[in-house]
Amino acid sequence: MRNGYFKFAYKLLILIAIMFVVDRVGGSIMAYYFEKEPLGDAAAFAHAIENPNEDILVYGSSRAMHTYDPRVLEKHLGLSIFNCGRNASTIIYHAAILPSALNRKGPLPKAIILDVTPKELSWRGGEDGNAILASMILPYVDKNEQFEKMADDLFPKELMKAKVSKLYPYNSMILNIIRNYSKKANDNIAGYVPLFGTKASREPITLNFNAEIDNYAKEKFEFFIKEVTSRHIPLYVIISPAFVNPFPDTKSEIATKEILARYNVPLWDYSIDTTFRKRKYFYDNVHLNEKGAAIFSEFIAKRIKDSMEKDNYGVRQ
Amino acid sequence: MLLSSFYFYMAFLPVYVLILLVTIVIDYYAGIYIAKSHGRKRKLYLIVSLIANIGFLSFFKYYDFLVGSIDELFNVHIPYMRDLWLSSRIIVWNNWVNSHLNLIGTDLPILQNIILPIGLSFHTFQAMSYTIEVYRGNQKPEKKFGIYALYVMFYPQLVAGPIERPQNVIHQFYEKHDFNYDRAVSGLRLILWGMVKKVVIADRLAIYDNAIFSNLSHHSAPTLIMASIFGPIQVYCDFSAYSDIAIGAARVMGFELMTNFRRPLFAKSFQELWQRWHISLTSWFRDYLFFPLGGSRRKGMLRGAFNLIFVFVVSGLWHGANWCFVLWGFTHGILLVVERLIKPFTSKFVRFLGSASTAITTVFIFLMFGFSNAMFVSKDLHEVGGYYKNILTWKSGGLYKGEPPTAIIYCIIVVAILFIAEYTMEYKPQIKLLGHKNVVVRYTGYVMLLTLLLLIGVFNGGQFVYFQF
Repeated sequence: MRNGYFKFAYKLLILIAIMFVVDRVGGSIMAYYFEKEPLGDAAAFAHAIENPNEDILVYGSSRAMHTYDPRVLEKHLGLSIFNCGRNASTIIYHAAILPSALNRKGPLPKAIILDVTPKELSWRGGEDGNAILASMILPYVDKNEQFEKMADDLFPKELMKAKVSKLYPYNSMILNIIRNYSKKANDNIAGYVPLFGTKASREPITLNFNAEIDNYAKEKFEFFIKEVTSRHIPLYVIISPAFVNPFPDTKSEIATKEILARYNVPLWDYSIDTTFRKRKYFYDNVHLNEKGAAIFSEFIAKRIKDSMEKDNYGVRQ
Repeated sequence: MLLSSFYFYMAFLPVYVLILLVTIVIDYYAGIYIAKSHGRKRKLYLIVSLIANIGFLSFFKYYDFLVGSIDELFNVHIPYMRDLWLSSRIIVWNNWVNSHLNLIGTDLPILQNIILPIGLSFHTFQAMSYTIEVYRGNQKPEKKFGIYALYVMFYPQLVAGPIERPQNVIHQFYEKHDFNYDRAVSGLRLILWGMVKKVVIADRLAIYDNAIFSNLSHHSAPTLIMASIFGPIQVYCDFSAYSDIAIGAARVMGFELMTNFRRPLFAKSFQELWQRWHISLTSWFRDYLFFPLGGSRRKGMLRGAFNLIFVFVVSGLWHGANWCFVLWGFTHGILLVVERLIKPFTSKFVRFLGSASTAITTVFIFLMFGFSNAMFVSKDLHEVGGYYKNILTWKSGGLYKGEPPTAIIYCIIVVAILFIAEYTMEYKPQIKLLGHKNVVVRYTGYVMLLTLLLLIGVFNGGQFVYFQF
């Protein structure tokens, strides 16, 4: 029996050693290809944290990513733009990447656009929300202290797994990495990803956005607003259009307005604005297509220009 | 081992261990008294045991279903379980036990529907098989209470089977189990393959399937067909993974549990499908319900057909208190009856097809099983109706690729992995990866599976599907 134990322990150790090497080598290969992705979320993210040198930076979820077309904004504002929007991201994620823009070398951004959803402060919503967030930030926890702290706060077990295994942070990413190496270059235009056609329902739908507030998200939202306004950077907080029926102010919207009021930042709410609530402008019920995005971007650009001129923020003519 | 089993069970909802204990005490004494008694008394003790087991099962699993059905049919309002005095007590007791013993179990919020005791259908059926076998004289009554309790509570298979028979397990609790290298390695290989089936295949398919199954009637025909292919594979991998892990864990400790799945997706007939799928349950129904009813031929063809359909309807109900499960069981009963009726013709057809018949019949049975899966996963009959309507009328629309769009590609990859592995086990058993003689091949197999787990496993804490039963 004793021999059996020794033999078992010995072979198990060999397997662990081989697995350790495979994990380190495999993790390094994944990290290399992940960081060098020419397109996709990772590429946009790398720009957002390593080199966010544009005049205006846009933050927000997929609704931001598919809405604010830098070409249109640049044309009307005469400023360089980068869209840091990311699929399924929320204010928790954006609060973590904001310091890269605020602590960059050179001048501060000339303006920041933050696109929020009617449930922005309710989003974290348990395991699923954390799983999505974890998949976004785990590859960066070794390099970015903000992300490591966030992971420690929100999903310490996932952080532990990412510390033990070098492959694990790239879980479920291999196909995306391959895809991002093979897609055409026009997929991502300074962070903006256009959507084509429409799959939206014939009529606006009724969505229930009214979930409970998550205090962690609320805290991060206030952090974001405070960090930007304390540096006197013009901040435009916008709820972009959706093809949905009118709905009463959600708990998240009420809390959002309360926080913004404390910092004298208005909320531009176009969620049910009838100018944009037309099926032909939507890819699906909550995302504008390229046609809707171009029209909305132009509208927002003009409004920002007016606002900046009025407040003498120095928009190029 | 018994203490470990207690802890394992109480880690879910501590208070429910009391229900388990009550049935264990009843069945333990029922077994002893059945063996001691003769004639009617003997039968009476068996009935007491069966009523106690079925009573608990019915109350927790079927009470709300029954009340809801009566309410819907006759507009008679009977309090639901959450409104009963007992429910509020269970919640209070559970939370008290939880806070005082500092277990990892769950607090139940007041007024929430009380949850089904975990694995109730499994350990109830295992307990019933004991008293029935004692009654039939195939099993001696167990004198040691601890041994009998362990038979019901043996933790590797406590919450989701296999549903064991006393003849197979009880004697093993008396045997000495020294560490055995080969046994431990074999058990761990089974656990590893079970983990891959659950985390890499079942949970990966669940991401796609759940998006479809949550609103079946809204999807296009191509999407529903894709979900009908992935659905049964997901359920199979989920449940057989638990069985593999349970059997593997028991084997590491020196115990042998019965095989629960034998690659059912390669069945060439419905009869064979049920001889390969959830073997411990289908054989339970066969031995304790189907044969006592008269089987398929003893009382004539018509009675045989009725018996078959009846057993499958009960089997459907075993899976859940829902009309969809009843319909699912009924459908499979009908399919089996039809298969038996047309067997003389299909045999000729199979001979005509020659060597191609294996592939054709396997694919046909798999697809039929897949199309019946909508009844297994739907919440109500309306959704089931929508599913069949959309397929039969070929509801237009593209194929849903999942979110992100690579989701469907992951699904195709993991299904391919499963089919390659199971095809090899079924038709080329001499080819072994984890059991290969060459150490390099063997370790390559281990490393490949562990890397698969890390790279494409889904670690979102998804529960095993069969835990709900």
